[in-house]
Amino acid sequence: MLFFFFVFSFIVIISSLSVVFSSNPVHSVLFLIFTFFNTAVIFLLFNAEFLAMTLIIVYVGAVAVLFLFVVMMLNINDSLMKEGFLKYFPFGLLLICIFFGELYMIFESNVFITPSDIRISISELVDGGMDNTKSIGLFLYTDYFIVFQISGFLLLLAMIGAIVLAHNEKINTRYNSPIDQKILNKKDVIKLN
Amino acid sequence: MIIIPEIFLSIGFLLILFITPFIKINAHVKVGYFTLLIIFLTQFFVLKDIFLFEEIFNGFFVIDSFGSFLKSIILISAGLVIYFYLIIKNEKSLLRPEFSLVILISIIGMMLMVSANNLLSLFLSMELQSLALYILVSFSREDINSSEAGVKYFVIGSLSTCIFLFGSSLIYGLVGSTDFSNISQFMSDQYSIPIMLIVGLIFILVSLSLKISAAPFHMWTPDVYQGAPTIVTTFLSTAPKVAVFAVLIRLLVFPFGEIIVDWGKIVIILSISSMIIGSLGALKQTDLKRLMAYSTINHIGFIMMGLVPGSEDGITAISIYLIFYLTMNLGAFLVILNMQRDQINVTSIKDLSGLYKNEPILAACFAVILFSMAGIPPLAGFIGKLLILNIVIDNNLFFLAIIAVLTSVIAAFYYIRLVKSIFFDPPVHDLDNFSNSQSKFLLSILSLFNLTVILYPQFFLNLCASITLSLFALK
Amino acid sequence: MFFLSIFLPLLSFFICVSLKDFFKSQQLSFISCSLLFMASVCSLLSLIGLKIEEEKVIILGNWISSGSLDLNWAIQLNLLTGSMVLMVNFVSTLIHIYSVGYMNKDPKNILFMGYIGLFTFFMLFLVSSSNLVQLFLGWEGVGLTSYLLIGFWNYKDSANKAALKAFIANRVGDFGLLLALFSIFIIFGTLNINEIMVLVNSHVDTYFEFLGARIHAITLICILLFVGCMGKSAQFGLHVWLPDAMEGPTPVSALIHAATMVTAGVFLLIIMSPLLEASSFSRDFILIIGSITCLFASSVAIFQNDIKRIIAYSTCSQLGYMFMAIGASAYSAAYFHLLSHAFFKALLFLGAGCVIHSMSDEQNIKKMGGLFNKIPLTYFTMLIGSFSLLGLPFFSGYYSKDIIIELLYLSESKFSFYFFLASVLGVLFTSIYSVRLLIYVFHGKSNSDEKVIAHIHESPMIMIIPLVILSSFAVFFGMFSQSFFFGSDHLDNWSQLMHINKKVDEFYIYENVPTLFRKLPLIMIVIGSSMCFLLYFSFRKSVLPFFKVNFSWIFSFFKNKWYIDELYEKLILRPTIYLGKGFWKSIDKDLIDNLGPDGISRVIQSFSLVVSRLQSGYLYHYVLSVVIGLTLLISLYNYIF
Repeated sequence: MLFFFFVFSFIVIISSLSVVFSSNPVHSVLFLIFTFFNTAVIFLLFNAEFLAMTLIIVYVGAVAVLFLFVVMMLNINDSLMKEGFLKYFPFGLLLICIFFGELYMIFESNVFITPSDIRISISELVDGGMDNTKSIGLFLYTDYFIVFQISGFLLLLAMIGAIVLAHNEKINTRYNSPIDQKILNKKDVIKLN
Repeated sequence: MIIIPEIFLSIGFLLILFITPFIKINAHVKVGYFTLLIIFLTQFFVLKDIFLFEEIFNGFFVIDSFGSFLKSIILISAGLVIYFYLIIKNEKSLLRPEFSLVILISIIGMMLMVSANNLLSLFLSMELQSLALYILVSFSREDINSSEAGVKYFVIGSLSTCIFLFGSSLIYGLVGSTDFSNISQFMSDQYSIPIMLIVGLIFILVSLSLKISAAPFHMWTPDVYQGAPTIVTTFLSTAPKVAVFAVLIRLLVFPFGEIIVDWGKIVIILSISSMIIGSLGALKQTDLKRLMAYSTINHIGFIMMGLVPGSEDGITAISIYLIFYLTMNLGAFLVILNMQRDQINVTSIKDLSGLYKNEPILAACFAVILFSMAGIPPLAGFIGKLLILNIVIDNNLFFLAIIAVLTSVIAAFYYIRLVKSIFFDPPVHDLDNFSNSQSKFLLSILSLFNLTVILYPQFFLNLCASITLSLFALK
Repeated sequence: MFFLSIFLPLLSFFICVSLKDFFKSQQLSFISCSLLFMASVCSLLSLIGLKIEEEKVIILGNWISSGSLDLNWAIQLNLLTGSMVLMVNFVSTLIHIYSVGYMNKDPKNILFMGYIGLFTFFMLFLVSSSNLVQLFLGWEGVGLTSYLLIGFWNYKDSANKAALKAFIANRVGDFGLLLALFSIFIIFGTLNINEIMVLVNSHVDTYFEFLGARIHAITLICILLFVGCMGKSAQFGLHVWLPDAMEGPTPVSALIHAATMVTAGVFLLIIMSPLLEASSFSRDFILIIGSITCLFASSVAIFQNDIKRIIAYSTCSQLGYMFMAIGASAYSAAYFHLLSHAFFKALLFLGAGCVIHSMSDEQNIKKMGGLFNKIPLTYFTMLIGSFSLLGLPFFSGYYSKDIIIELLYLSESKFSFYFFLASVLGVLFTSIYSVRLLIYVFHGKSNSDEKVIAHIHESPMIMIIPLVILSSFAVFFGMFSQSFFFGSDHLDNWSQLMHINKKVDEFYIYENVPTLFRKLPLIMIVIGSSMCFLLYFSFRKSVLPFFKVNFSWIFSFFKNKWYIDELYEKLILRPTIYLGKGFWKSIDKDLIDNLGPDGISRVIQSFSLVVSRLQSGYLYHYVLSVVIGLTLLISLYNYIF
């Protein structure tokens, strides 16, 4: 079990690094998809089948494919992206080394809590034979109801935002509103005598 | 139900959202007034329960008078911003009904933030708030600067989100819960606080510092403030700051109150660097909005000093300073909003020169507000600074007080340079007349407030002291 | 009542200054004179209503309350302050009336009335204060108004210079007074005059430790107080401003530089007399300075030609007498002389003002002469004033001055006889310059041109009336009130208010001073006047030129006031200016400005440039800065805290 975990997490790390480093944006997106898949496998290893499915359906099925379309349509010139890379690389490497070194030391000195001590009672439900999806549903609609609602608002806002930023009211174009034409009165119309 | 203000606000939001498409003419004005009405009613709900104390929704949120008080302040400042939006001449791209709506939803986010009692609910409400702000910053689509600012703000905001999530995951990994009271319980159980908890807290602090633009996490601020439409900048520099400060106070005082020794130093570093950056960075600026960004950073540093002792007095001083800061900032931005030449908004410092000749009363009001920002006695800003410095000195943090005073002196330079150019420089090109009598009226009220606070400082002291009491009752 | 007598002059000031554009000058003059008159009546009534040994303190409000320092705005009424207030008000009223005539042609005359009203208020405030800080406020107030009034004719360059000189010389003295106040507060812990008096005995043996030296605290305080008095009362060393102050209008000289302000120092030392009694060294010091002043001023006066300067030096020497009396512990004698001097010296100044007025603003006595039949009333009053100044028997000056001279003979000091001789010599000089003045101005041939002679006229009645009133005081004041100060039954009245020397008693003096010495001043007057008469009437042609040719250095020595001004310029002014320029150029401009304000602002500017440069506008820079900041905070936390 632990062995598989390490294998898949290694693949996740490698493929997510490839997302950043690969020169072709299309490759990057493909690596992203690959990362998602492997993450889903890790979720499955821990009996979180609902999360695994969601990840694949939402991220791979919707988000990543959208990314792919966008990338293909934008046709980004990859030589520009490389500019300045070498300039910043040594410093960035140093920074990353320090950062991860510190994190490593911190993680080493502490022990994480075991799942049994976690104060959220979801583990009880899972232990009691409820399946994953059902127990998550139970929680989301009872204890975590308010969080769920806020997430809903978040999505609504995202929708509004997308419309606000993307929707283009054609103010300057010569556009005839069908409604305006329908409600037109006869006396308002210019007559040609 | 006790969370009624937020629920009412959400229902109002949905209602407006529903009727918006049916309003044909002048939709943005009508929706704006609707929003104002809803904010006004919500204010009533907030004040009704101001002395209530209760944990609600499974401990995800808490209602207390500290939160209600700050919510009411947020509502007032957001309401004022919407009112500004309605009375000034806006660019065409801003004249859409969604503007008020997005502000409204970000208010919902802020109010939830203020009363969040769980890392999860805090995160979600903060996201709600931030997302609305990203939209607002890039609202002016035709303006390339606005879009650029929006992208910058969005990327930095996402980074902040990542950092917050990472910090919370560390804490969750240790504690096994995201609930504030559980975290507090965990810490009082421990013999020695694990270092990872503090590192987690540092991550969260950094993320919140990004939101309130405390140095060294301030870099986005000048660019975003300058690029965003001015009305959005006004909103950006007022209400969200209050909300994030509320979160900071609640987080640091309640669950992490035990490790004050650890986060105290970090807050000191943040506040010192903010004060220095805020005062030094503004000296060379030529754009008023950029200048205001640095001024905000400087004020934020000053306010953060009050947090260091983690005491009741400190929080009281912060609350008072926040109120005064809001009045000063709203006043200053009201002037900037009205600065137009040939119907086009201008924001350069040079454009202010000789304002006194055309608009003596307005110039005087602006000068009062600038002096107040500089902390010239007997104006409101001075009282705020005095209170905070008092707290700092009471806790024997003399070096901090000295730095604060020195940076205030430097900061005073750029405020007073503005006053100089208003009163003494010859006008380059005349600005359009500030024909807007409503903004004149509002501005004079704001400056009058700054002038006369010295007559009744005890009122604010008593009010804020009684409000902060509830925060410590939880302990 | 007493309150009114102090604040009515202030009201007069406010009325004059604020309403001067709305009313005619005559109306305002009348209002201001009548206010002063009412103030005088009030002070007279409050003095009459005052029982012997009674003391009233009227508290007007709290002023400073900081730690152990607790000061009230309070005015104090007792025999001493009451009589002083009465004198000030009385003289000020007469001078107000006189100024109406004197300043008639001046366009700013109402402002002038206002200023002297303000001056009167500050003087009264000084006199009646119950604590030293309030006294200091009055002290500075009279200094300020003195400055304003000396420089009243500010179109004259000399007037501005004189005003500045007076202000700066006073500042030196005020510094001493301030130091005295500080040391009093350190030693006694209070600045209330009555409380200090009570505490004196318990601090007789207190010493200051300063740079390893032990200094007797009370002596130090007394010397510092005296330094303050030297400035205000123009004692030798800080006297330089008084003669120059004569650039002001003559009523100002009469009020400020003869009757009231210059005597403030004497008054201060009188109320602090218990302190002085605790330190014999400081009394000796005062005696020395007083006698030097007395001799110096009277000798210089002989050689002056400006009528007002002669009287100014005379004032200086009379103040010297008062300080000598204080040095000899004869405080009541000093106070008595203060009052009688106020009357006859004001009289002399006002008379001189009349002379100047009638001579079309001519002040040089060499250009006058033969005026005695042209302006008889002025001549008569000047004569009375001079006699009183000389100390001819039965005039006021006789009573007050002779008793000082006799007490000097009796004083405890080792050198009392020399001080006695100095004072007698002072009388000789006094008689010489007084007689010289009278001869030059009123007798002999007229030396002025035709135009002026044709214009000579008696001054208007409004100027003559104050003269007549003052001359009656100059004659009779001493005679009638002598027993009040020195009669054995009245001595107890004063013992509450100042230290009383038991020797100040007619009979004691009569028994202990040899007759010759008692008559010596009179003899000196006779010698001096006869010398003068001989010189100026009989041998005018032969002796004077002979002296002038052969002993010119003596003449120039005295004419140039012992070269004190020149000495000051060489020793103090030049080096100070030189040093100041040096400091300004090399230290202030080059060193401090460069390192200080300019340097700091340059450094800040360059820093701000750095901060602005960091703001590159590139998003990835910003993200990098966030990561750096985060790493920095974590490593700071890990390794430093």
